[in-house]
Amino acid sequence: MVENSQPDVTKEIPKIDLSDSIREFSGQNSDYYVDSLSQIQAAGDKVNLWNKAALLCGPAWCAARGLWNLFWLFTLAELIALVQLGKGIWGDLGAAKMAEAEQLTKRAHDLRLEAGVAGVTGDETAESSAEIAMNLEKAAELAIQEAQAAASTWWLYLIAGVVLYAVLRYVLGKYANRLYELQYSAWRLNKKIASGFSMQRLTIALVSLAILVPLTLYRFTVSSPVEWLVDVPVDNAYYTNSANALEGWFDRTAEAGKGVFDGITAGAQSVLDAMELLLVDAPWPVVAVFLVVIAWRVASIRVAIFTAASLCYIGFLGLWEASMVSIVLVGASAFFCILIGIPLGIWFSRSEKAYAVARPVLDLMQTIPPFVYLIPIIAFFGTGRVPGVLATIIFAMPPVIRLTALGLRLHCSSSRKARAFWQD
Amino acid sequence: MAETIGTVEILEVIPEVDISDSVKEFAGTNGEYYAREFKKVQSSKSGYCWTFNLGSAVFGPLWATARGLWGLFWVFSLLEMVFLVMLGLGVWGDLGAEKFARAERLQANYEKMMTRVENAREQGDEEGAASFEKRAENLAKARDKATAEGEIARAGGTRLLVIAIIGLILSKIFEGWIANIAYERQYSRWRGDRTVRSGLSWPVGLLGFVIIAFVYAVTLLRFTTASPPDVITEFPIGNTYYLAIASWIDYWFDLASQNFAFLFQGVSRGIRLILDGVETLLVGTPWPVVMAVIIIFAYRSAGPRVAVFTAAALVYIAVLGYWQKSMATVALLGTASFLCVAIGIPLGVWFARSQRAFNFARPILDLMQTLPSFVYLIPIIAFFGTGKPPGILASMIFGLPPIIRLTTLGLRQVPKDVVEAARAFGATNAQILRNVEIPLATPSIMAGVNQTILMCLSMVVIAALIDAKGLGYDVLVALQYAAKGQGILAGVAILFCAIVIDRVIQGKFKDTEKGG
Repeated sequence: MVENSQPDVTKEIPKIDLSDSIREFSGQNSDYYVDSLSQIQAAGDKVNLWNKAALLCGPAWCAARGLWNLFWLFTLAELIALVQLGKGIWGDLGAAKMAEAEQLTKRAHDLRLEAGVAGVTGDETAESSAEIAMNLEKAAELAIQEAQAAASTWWLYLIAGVVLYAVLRYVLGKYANRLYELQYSAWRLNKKIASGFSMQRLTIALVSLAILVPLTLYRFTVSSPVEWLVDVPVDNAYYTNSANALEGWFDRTAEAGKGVFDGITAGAQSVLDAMELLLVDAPWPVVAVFLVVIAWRVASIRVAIFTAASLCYIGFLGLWEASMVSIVLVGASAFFCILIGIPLGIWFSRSEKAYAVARPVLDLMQTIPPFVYLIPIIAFFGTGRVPGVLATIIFAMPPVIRLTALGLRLHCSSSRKARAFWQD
Repeated sequence: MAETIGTVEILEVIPEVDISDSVKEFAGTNGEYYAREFKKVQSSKSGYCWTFNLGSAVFGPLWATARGLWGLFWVFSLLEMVFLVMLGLGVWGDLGAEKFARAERLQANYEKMMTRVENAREQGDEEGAASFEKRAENLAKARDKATAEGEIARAGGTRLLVIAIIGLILSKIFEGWIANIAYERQYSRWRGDRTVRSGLSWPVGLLGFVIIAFVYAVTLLRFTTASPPDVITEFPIGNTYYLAIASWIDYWFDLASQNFAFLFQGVSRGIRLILDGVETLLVGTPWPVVMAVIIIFAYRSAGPRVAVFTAAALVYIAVLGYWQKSMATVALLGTASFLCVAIGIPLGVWFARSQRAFNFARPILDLMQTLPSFVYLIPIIAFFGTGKPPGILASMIFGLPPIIRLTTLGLRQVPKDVVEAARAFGATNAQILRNVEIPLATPSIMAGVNQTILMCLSMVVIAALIDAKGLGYDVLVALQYAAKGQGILAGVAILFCAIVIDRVIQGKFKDTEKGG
């Protein structure tokens, strides 16, 4: 930005000589960079200087010069180009379609056999089997044609790969110096930023390229690459064993903690029952009047009208009872959240240590997808409304705790002062 | 609290102020009684002492309204309602009815089965008879069980009745006790502010009476009559409206999805294109390459500790055979978050500039965050079908709001004088945005990106419901078959994906903060 807006200023004031600084920054081949970077600084974006090293070495140049982000970007892009190239040269382009055709022929063959057997025994299915077999054969032929067509497009891939590769190198060669100039500007402010030409970085880059490129090329161009490259070669036993072990642990815990879990269920159930009594069992006109008047008293007449309209919608669509059951669930969950969450929040606002322990747990409660914690809940509490309430509590409690703790922390200092004043 | 304690101390020291006249003015009828009781309440240390207001105990909510204590009115009537409904259920409600009906049905089936047994015997089919007999036996067992449960439920009725009566008595005592204490508070407030309701007001009492009478009458009608009018038990609407409106909405959905099929397909294809690219990168590329790149990336952006954690998480995923599924999930998530960021940041910039646009968009953003995700799955399925692109769309609806909001917030918090300084140097609007505002808003924007990614991740399982596959599908299947072990393993894999992404991005953001 500084260079952009001040080209005319540089003309007036004596030029600052940056050659030494650039020399220090660029290390090897410094004469070239002193020349090109000063030109860029003087003329902004208008200068286009080819960087032959970048053009020839590509990502390796980026790494050696410490432009790691650029290195990864270009490695990725060049890999894509190389994969196209590889597919064009020795890839078996029609392979997938060929395999499909083979499968179709095999199924058709099987069906033909079946049809023959059915024809001998005089079964009715003979005809339909034969017909299906014919269709399958047709499809197989089509697939073979498509495979041939695909195989003949090798030159398209080849051209696409070559063009993409050439374009990438062209872009890098053309813009390398400008990007390097940006790095230099950043380095002038912060000398920790990578500078110079480093053999070590070059080695790292070359080693990574030597591993990445052949593996990827092999994976994408060979029609059926070795199994262990496609998916991680692991024994399925690990999975089954750990799943079984976990399952066993869950079962044992559920067994051992039956009293606790049943107690929690009974407690939650009694609250649910009481609320259900009020909302579901009570006659609906009474509930509706209560809800509207509470909305009016607690909020305002506008909210009351909105409440009445909502209740009408619910009633007219025949969703009254379902809605009340939902409200009971929500209400019970909210009740428990507040009952447990506010004391916890108060505790966490007092004790920094407790909060430090609890914070990752709260984070976890909010990050885990709800379906995942349904699993232990079902394991321990079974299905029904109580487990539903428990799942809702896990989801909804963190905000109550956090905001209570936050609110108390914000006001604690002033209230402590007030208390001190009263005690004096 | 502090106030009352303060007054009490003052009252002990200075000569007592005689409040009887003021209380008499406040209470109107029965002034003497309230003056006496209020003194008692005021002189007790905690503000709670034993007083008993017979009027309140007997009339409950009615007393509360007449005295203008509306809050108390609702508390009292709710309390009484609960126990009244319990009483009604206990005395008149047929609690075991459902179970007995079931027992009857089972009995009928049992008899049918027994006739079958006999038929089979007559025809000399001993084997068939034996199998029918076995089924009949099972039916008989189920019947006995249902009857027993019915009996228990019926016995529960008596228990309910007892609870209701005890509850009613307790709530009456509570009403009598709390009345004077609450009324004294009202009086203290009234002394500070004369507009607070005072005295015994008949019109207001009448309103309360009407409400109470209505509530009691309907409740009694509901429970005492053997077959209460349907109007009371259920909302008096058949499902005609429901069906009519539902089919009308169906019709519009079908119409829209037919007429705009090209649009929906276009969106689907666009998303599919991006997803395919990302998937080739993550799933198609040989796993050692992907793993190495991820670990190096974690190391470079967040340091060695995060890199070690990332490596451990990836080993967990790989060893349990979740590699391809995890990468598919990350591809889904990556595409969704990428689109969210690509759409959300420009929108956020726009909303930061235009207050009007933001005012217009805010309710929509609220709606996107409040609607349960299953609800907007419905239009998405109607228009886009099932599969991965609709899954990504659903995740985007959930994930867009935070990035928009936090971008707007971040841009608005950029100090005005900095922008002015840039403008004074002759920077254009685009330059100000690119070189001044966005760098200064970066912490906020990055927080938004982070939240968006986590939101999208939590949609992974829900997206699996509409056939988006990946790790979420494993969790769903585990839930369906109660396979706890498998489900937890898959869930932890999702969690690891989330933590790695979160840490890497946070690390990156901290890094840039340090650098700048």
